Amino acid sequence: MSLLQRWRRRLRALVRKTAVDREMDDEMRFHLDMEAEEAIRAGLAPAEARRRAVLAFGGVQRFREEGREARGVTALDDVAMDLRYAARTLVRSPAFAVVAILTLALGIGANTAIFSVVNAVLLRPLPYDDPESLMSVWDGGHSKAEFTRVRDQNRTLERVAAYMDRVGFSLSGEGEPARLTGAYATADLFGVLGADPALGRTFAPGEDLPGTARVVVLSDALWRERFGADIEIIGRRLDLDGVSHTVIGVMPRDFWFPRRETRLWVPLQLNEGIPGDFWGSYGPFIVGRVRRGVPREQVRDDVRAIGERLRVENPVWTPTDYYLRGLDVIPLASRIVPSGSRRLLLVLLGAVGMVLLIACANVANLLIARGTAREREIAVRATLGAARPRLIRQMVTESLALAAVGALAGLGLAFGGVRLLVRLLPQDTPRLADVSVSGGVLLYTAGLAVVAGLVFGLVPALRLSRPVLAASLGEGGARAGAGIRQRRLAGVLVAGEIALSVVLAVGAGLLLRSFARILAVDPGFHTEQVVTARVSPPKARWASPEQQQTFYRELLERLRGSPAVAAAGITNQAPFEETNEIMAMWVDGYTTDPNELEVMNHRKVTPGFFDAMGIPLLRGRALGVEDRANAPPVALIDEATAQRYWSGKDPVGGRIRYPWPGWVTIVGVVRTVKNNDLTDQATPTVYVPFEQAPLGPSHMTVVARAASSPVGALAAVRAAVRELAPDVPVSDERTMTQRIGDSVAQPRFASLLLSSFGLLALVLGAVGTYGLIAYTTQRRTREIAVRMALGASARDVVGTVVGEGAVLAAGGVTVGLVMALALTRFLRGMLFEVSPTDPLTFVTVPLVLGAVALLASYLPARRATRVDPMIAIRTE
Amino acid sequence: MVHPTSPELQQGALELLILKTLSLGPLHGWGISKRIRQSSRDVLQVNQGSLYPALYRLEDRGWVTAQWGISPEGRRARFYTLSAAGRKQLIRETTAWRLFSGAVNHVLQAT
Repeated sequence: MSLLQRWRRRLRALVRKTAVDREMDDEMRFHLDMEAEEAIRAGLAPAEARRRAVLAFGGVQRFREEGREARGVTALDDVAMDLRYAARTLVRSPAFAVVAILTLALGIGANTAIFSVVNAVLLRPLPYDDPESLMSVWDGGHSKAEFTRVRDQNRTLERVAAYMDRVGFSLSGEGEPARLTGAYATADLFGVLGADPALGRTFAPGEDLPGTARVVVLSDALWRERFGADIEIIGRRLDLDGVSHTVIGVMPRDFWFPRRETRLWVPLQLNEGIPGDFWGSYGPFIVGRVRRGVPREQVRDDVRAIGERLRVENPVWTPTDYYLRGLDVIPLASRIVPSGSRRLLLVLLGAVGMVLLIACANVANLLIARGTAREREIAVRATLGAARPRLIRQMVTESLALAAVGALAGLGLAFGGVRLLVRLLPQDTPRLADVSVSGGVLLYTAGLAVVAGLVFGLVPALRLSRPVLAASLGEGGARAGAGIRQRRLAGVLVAGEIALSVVLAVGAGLLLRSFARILAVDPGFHTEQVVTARVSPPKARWASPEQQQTFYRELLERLRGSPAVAAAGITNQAPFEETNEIMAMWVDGYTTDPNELEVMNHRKVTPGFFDAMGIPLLRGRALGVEDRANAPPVALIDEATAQRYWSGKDPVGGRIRYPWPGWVTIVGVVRTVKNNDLTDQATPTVYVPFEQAPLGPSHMTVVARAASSPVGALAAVRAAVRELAPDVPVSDERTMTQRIGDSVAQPRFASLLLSSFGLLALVLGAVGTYGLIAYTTQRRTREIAVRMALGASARDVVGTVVGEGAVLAAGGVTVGLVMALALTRFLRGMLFEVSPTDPLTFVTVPLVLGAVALLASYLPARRATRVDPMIAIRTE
Repeated sequence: MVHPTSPELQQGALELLILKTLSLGPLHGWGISKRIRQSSRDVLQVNQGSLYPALYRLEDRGWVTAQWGISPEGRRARFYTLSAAGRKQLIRETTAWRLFSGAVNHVLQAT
């Protein structure tokens, strides 16, 4: 019989106690009847027969007890009894119960909340078929040629596809024009992922080749929000960027790729006939399903061999040795969840684990303190025959019950905490929408409660159950010495709490300092009053450079006429937009090899851009209306470019060119601005007049400085576009302040959370220290009273007690600093211009924590000196 | 009603005798005590106070199963049946018992 079955039966016996008892009674009655009948047959009178039978059977009550014990009911009975006993003792000391439960609720609740996020973002498998075998092959952006060769020549992959993430599409035609985030994908993408559509079909083989009909697959969200979940959607035609696409399928609700916000998928065109596009333009990522049993290293070698052949085959340019450097094959999950989010979450999980440890130490101390007061009760029970294992079991049951109640309360906190976390987390954290207190999380919490209950329950239970009968049962003198062992243990626990608090506070301090450094960075342009919005005229209707230029010129004229706008300009890319357009440039007098061009940020701007952004001109002249399409090509560069390529010399009059012929003259130098992130290293940036720039995507960003309110300026932009062309979508409307705020979401979140945990740890540590000192001082009241009666001053007494606290604090702080030195290197990637061993932090934190610990021991010490010696001595 | 000269059965021995008795077929508690007394020619008296706890213990371990049925006398009685695991246990314990009692006899004869 399995253990499970046995316990199930025992449980049944316990729950249906009366039924089982009745069964035993029935059996006993049958036995007595039979015994009596036999006696009657042997010639006894019925009454005498009955009497003998009962006599032979022995005590009925004893039979019941022994029967129950044999059935294993007693073990469970004991548990029930222990629980009742635990509940009674807890109710009898409500202050202790409330403090312990609250402490545990904070610890367990914070852990549950953080784990909910970790579970959804890092642990839950991706919603694809056999997600472990999906790899980001040759991780990074690639050319279509590279993808095609990997697809056709590999020997280690079952299926391969390529996709291009975060492609903006303008959906127009019916209703409000909208800007949607979509993805380009090769025909086999859905096959690689093993994903089936909810409606219609996904891409057919060959649908990614030129000359095929334009098709689109919709996400469930887009289908519901935009098309009211219309079942008849298949076959409908949608206007995407001004080109008609046929809807062929809708994906199921829980499908997403490569991010939750992706609303639609359009085939990536693999056009081998245009060598520049096929070999030269980069972007798509390659995803492949590895053949069963093939290790990652083998896939990497396989792809490397293909790469070596590609270097030779490339008809457009000759890749350098750099080409295959860093070639790697990584799990798709690591591609989808970037390492920054992973590290942040793991650091938080570690931090919150420490908070729980501190909470456990605190509760253990409370139990020890209370346990010492219960010494007599325990001694009495031991004398009356309670075995040590039985006593330990009872005390552990008590702490497990405490942990369970704490966990329940913590779960309540976690439900709120998760909602708060999702709001606070950087919005670009992947899979944020999946975060919830799920079944797995509940299991984790339950496990946490059991472990916590054992951790803080077992140590005191082992300690307290040790027989110290004489000392405890005897009155008076022996008592002062009792509990020294407990006090020592409590001291170690409190020092441990202080050590963990130091680690957390140092981590929080480093992140806070780093965050302050980030915020102090000057982005190089005005952030107040500046608003940006993306305008996306469908390329099909504004196809030629002239058409686009006319559209934007008219838009700017309207904006200039608006009273809400003080200055306005157009750019292909405003600072702190998520994307970044780069271009390989030949720098005259610097570049020598056509295969090693200089990579620069490439910005197309109208003259008003610099005025609206407040980027000052440092040298030469600004761009003007005279820099038209047919005028001599000119450009501005920023200081970073000037420094890198003209080091010290005057760049004005210098020349650069695109990979194709035609020199561009540099006419001026502007200040360097931060482009994507306040922590960016300055990348050389070149600004070319919009009308002279090579033709690119038709969407542009309007940058406007508000005359009064930013909201009014944004409304003016929207209105101007609507008047000019009602079917052109305006999207991503944000003030520059918002953009910069969003860009520091991660460090803000990290420092905020770690500081909260640090503060929580500090409070718990202080409470622990206070509790311990207060408790020991109280037990020494008599001793203190005697000393004071003999002439010790209040100052002496305070000194002794605070000295004890100081020893604890010094020990804890020292250990904590050593731990912090070992652990802060995990923060390295999260710190900006602050070293993981930043001296200021490592000096300030111990001082603050030490001061708090001393204060926590000073308060009870002072109280002890105020006790009247006579009263103290008498009460003992 | 322990016979003055008859030995009190130890727990392990009692369980072995119960298993042996049940190997002949299902029986109720009273039947078991009676059968043991008879087959030991009245030497072994089973104390009811220990018989039923022993039965429940065996049931808890899964060596016997119990069911309510009707006795030959037409009364409702709880019948115990040896399970497969119980049969194996009987073989194990019988071997162990033979080994033990043989050794004890050996020692007793040697003196």
